[in-house]
Amino acid sequence: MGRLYWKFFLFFFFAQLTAVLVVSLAIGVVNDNRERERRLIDGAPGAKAMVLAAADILKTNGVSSLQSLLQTWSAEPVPQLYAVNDEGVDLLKRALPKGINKQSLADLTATTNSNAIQKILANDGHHYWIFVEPKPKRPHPKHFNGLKTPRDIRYLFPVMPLIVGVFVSLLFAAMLAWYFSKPIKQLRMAFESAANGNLTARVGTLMLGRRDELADLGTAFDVMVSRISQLIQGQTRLMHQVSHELRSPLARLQIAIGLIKQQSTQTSAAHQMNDKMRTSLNRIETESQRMDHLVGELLTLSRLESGMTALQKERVNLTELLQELVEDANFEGLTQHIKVEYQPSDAIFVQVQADLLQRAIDNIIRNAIKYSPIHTNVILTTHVNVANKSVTLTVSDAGKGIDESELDAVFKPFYRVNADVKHGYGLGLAIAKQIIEAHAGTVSAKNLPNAGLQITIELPIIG
Amino acid sequence: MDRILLIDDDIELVEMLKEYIDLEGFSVDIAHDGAAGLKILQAGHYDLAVLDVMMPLLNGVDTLRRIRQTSNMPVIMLTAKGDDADRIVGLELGADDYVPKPCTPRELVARIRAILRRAKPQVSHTKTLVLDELTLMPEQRRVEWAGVPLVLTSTEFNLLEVLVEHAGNVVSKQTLSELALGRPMAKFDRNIDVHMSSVRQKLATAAGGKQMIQTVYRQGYQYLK
Repeated sequence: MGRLYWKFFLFFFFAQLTAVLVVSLAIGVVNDNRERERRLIDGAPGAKAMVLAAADILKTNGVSSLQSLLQTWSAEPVPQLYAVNDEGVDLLKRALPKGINKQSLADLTATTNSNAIQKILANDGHHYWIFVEPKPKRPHPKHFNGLKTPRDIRYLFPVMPLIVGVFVSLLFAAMLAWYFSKPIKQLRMAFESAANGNLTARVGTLMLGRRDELADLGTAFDVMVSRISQLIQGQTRLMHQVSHELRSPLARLQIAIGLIKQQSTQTSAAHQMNDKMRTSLNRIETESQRMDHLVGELLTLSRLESGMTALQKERVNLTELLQELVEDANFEGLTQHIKVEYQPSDAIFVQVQADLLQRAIDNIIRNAIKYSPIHTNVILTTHVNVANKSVTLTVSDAGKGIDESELDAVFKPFYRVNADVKHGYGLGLAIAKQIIEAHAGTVSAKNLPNAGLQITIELPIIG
Repeated sequence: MDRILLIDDDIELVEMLKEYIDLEGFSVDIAHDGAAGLKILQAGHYDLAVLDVMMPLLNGVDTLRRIRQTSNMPVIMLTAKGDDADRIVGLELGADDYVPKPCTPRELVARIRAILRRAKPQVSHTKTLVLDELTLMPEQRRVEWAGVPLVLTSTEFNLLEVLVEHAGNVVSKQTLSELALGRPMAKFDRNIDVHMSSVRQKLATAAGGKQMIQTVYRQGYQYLK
């Protein structure tokens, strides 16, 4: 869950929580009055009738009549009716029920809108409050035991509704936050995927059935990515076609050169060709072969980039493949007094197209040899990571290394360290990267602490 | 004089190539597409065909498939440089060798010579080789397994011949390339592997599933004694 999710969640949660609190507070105040009344006096219809009857007797027959009536009723096992004067004394001088005094009686009279309590001016000049004591309570185990005062906090806030309210608002806040943050998360993942070069990333299907601004954003993303993908494909195709088309004239050129050379050796024209011409012809031949080589590399690269070639993978022992490469490289490196060092480990099996992977690693080894000072070694190591089922392969040279800022650029086509024209066409590492990535591997470059460049390849292993 | 048929749709290229190869002492005819090439091949005898992979109408691979239905004549494929798939398909269908295009004509003639030299019965090797049920007759370039003739292309025959001559020993791919194809092995060259796979398959079929040739990784191949 991202930050946006939590922001949405907390915002809506607090909004709803506040609403719940305010509403329950208001309900709590109303309830409080009713509850107080209910606890102090009996408000049932029977009790009201008794109160009305007593009030009537007090008004018409006076204090003494009521007194004798109360006397009679007090012998009965029913809730007792009280008549309390404005000095707080009951007509029968009984102890007042719990919580009843002059003040609470005045409050009750002021707040009640029922007939459960009556204030009557009697013939002795006193006011009398007439009410029935509440029925004996069935004690409620949780809520009403141990209540100290009517203003107890648990009275002010109805606990159950509050808990339910909190949970419901929690749920809705979570759902709302999810509703907004999920498509945004999907969009972000699609953007990341596209940024990593996966131009087949689409969000359209993930937002199916959604019709809002976020879905529009997703559609716009899809359009953008497919457009970019078309442009890149177009460019790759163009590069491929250009290289392809270059080959026909190149093939003819080479044959034309071959014809001149053939004639110069086979016919009497031999002595007519002077040294200058011969040198130039050789030069033309060399250059056409260079162009041929370059076009071949370009074709390989563009074919790999466009994913046109389906890999024909097989189970290959990487250790043996490396041994073979190192033997070949050493055979050629000897003249420059550069040796490739490799300690073969146990068999490491990878699922690859052998010739392609060989070419990739060969390009990297050759590159290392190219930038090595004479009488130094190029060091090749392998390390199996059992945990993530991969093998890490490093190729280190003792050269000068390259600028930190250019470490990624070495894998780009036509990149040359220090505009070094002498060394190749700058396609070797680009091809290697394409091949390794086509095998679900990664390749990176870093400078070694002492000196030299280290290329690290990581490839998935099998078995 | 050896007769060669060039089949390629690049008219200018083929004209120059014909001129070059003519001067090298071959008799060259040309065809500009696969269908025309097949017709010419049916009409007369040719010692070798050079076949471009990429052609309109009938492409090189399909043309080769048709040629192989009736003939084991040596065929060199001109393949697009950098396109390994075409190359492997061509070899699997029984092309004797391939030359990536563009190539120098000198390179192509060298390949033609190498293939032709090895496609012919050699004067020095006329002795019939017999190994258990396998009979190799270099003079007629014929192979039999338990009296039943085996249909091999020229290169396949060469490879088997080299292996049988060294039966019981491992022969490196390098050596096989030099002796059977007449050229050193190129880098990342799958040529020998593809041919060997075909030879093994044909031999195993004839021998009722028995594998007579063993692959020794990184070293080469061995005919089991």
